[in-house]
Amino acid sequence: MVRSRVQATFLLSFALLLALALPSSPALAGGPAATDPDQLEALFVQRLTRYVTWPEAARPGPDGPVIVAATDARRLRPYFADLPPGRFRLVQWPADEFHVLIVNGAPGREAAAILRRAAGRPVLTIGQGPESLRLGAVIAFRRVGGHIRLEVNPRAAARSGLSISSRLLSIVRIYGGAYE
Amino acid sequence: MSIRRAMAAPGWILAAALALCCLLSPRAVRADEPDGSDIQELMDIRVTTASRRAEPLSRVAGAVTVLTEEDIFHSGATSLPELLRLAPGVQVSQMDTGMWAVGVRGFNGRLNSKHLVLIDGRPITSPATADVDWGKAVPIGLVKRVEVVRGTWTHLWGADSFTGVINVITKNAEETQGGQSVTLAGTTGAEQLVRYGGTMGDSGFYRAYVGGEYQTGNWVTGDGDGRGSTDWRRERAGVRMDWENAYTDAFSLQGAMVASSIRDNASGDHQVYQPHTRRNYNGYAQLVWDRATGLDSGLKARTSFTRDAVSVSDLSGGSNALDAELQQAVEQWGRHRFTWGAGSRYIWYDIENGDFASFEPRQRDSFTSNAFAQDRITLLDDTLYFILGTKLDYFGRGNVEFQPTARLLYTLDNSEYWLAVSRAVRADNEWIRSGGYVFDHHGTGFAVSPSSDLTTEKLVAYEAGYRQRLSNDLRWDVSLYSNRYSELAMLELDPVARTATLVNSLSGASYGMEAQVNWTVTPWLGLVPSVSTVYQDIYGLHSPPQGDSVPDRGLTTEWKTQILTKPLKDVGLDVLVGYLDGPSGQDSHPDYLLLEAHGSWKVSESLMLELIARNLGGSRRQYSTLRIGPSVDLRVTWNF
Repeated sequence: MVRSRVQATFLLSFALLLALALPSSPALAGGPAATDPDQLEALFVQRLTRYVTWPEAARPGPDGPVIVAATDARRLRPYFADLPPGRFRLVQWPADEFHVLIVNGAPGREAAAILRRAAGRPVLTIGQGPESLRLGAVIAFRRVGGHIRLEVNPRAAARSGLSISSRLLSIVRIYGGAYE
Repeated sequence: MSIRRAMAAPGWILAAALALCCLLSPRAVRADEPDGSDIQELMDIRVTTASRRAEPLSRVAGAVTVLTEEDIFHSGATSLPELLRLAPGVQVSQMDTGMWAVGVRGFNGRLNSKHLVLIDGRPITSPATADVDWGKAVPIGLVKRVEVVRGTWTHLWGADSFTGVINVITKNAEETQGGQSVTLAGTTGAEQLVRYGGTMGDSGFYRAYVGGEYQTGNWVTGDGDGRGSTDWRRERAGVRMDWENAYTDAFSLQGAMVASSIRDNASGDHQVYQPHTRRNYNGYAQLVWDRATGLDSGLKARTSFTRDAVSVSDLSGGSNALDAELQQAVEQWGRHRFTWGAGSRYIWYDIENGDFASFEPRQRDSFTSNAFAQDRITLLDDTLYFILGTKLDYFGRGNVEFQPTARLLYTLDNSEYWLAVSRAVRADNEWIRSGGYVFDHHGTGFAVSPSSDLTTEKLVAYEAGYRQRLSNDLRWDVSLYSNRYSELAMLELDPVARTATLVNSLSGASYGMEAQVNWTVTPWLGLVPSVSTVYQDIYGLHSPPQGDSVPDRGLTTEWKTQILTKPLKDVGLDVLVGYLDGPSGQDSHPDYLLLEAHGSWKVSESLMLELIARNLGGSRRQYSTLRIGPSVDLRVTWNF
């Protein structure tokens, strides 16, 4: 009798702890799916720059920052704020000088117009969805479930004078279609 | 096994534990409680009317109410004026069958309204009488959202938008794919609308609709011999095509025709004619080209042709309006964000006189043109904005009118403050100026003589407002204004000659406030209370205001609360209760109780039943000598 009461108390306590722990557990609350997509995109942008080589004239300086222009910089700002100074500089589009352009949060036709304006410039352009590759983006983020997958358009990269590392090309999906 | 032992068994404990887990787990919470996405969605709605370019509601330096598709559904509205009742500061009164008096911040007479009504950017306010024939407006089921922008916006929309702009935005063809049948039947009459939408190639969409409607009008009654208009018949058809081309461009072509007839028993308004049958024919075609040129920027061109014709007895006539406009939303340039545009409108009228009735002159026309420019200057990044704008209007005669505004917007994370001062002018319309008609004043007909020395009506408006999101489920906003009017037009009577002349002899002021709260109390209960009040003091320099639609003098207050409930997963019950407290001592605008209910049952993914009850507060006068009685209708929507 005493044993079953102890057992009951233990199980109830365990259940309560489990219940209280659940709301704060990211894994059970959705795991990676619950990660802020803006944070993920910011992380990808920061890491992608290691796998890209810009033409000599447009290359970020050895000590200078990589300038990232975003069409909605406000969303990405918290994830660039804590980086070591001098490594990256996030600016709001439209901007005059930048090495990376991420088209985030812009309606479809506006995104097309922006990518069209950036086409051919020595800029790593990053769009949302495979459609952006057709519009001339070098890299596209594809949301699959809670994850971000990458797709690369080597022809757009070549047109912009960018070299993409073969290591990156070996792990991403390659876009082979036509683009504008 | 005893009950006591069974209760102590680990199996029961595990079940309780699992139940507890389920109750407290985030999934359970997410399934049952609002996550604030509805509020966020609303804040993300891009409003186009307040700056003639798309921007979030939180970046608008003005008083704006957006009625979304969800609001339209919950309202149970079967016509646009019924829907507009949800917006604070918009006074909506039914005068007769198919006839409404709608005012923004006062001036709510049928013929003295001083706001602009647009459908997809096309003005539907009559160029002849400043009236809106709501019967020709788009079927409510095709409306995507309505932007009600209160206050003075003449710096963007010109002289017609003296006290506000009501911009009705319809669903595009892509949003209305497939078939839909909407049947409405009940004590008001019957209505049937069928629409179908499909694709044209890879990037084109179309939709077409056809419908018919009959309203008995027998719920509109009068005292004594007075009787409302009856036997209102309408047939309508319309088409819309949308294309996206070259990724950055969008084209839209739309058009519609409405033919209607009504037995006008000449009791609803001050009229001097005999009961008669009136026939209206309306049609329009509009082409819009929209090119995105960058972030939040683009070029837009719009042109339309509208024909409104009316036939009364053996007199018939109509107006034709051809307009075109071009505007550019320039991409952010340093601290500046420019928007500019220009447009023109040519209107011509034709009258066919009969043996029993005539109207002179039989033909006339007018040409107006305008240009506007606005700059939003960022004073502090993402926080403080200064907006300067003006519109230049040329009314085809006299000087070019200058209508500037200056606005300040201060935004925090969850709230915004704004201030505005604007100058506006408004031109009388050609028909009012030219006279040639008779109006009734206390039973005596006065022939209106042409006026040659009329000038524009003037307004200087001071406005302020505040919006706050207290939580994901609760937000509120308030706006205050003071309008100073001068040289408003009115009819001056000569009782001896029984003539009337339009003169600029009215002046005065109005002060007001509008406030609204949006509160999602629980997942199954939402409350939207609002209050709007306007004190209007318009006086004549030589004699008291008189005419067909004299502005109210005194304090008008409207209290409204929308109660949105969802007792079952697929069942909804929404109630709108309100009280309109009109100015004391003015017979034209009596106090009345507003009580409307809307029940809905989503039977399946393709079938929706709605029960719509209106004017449950009893048979009441709203803004005419007629009483608007209760009605109950059933609406069946079938998607196929």
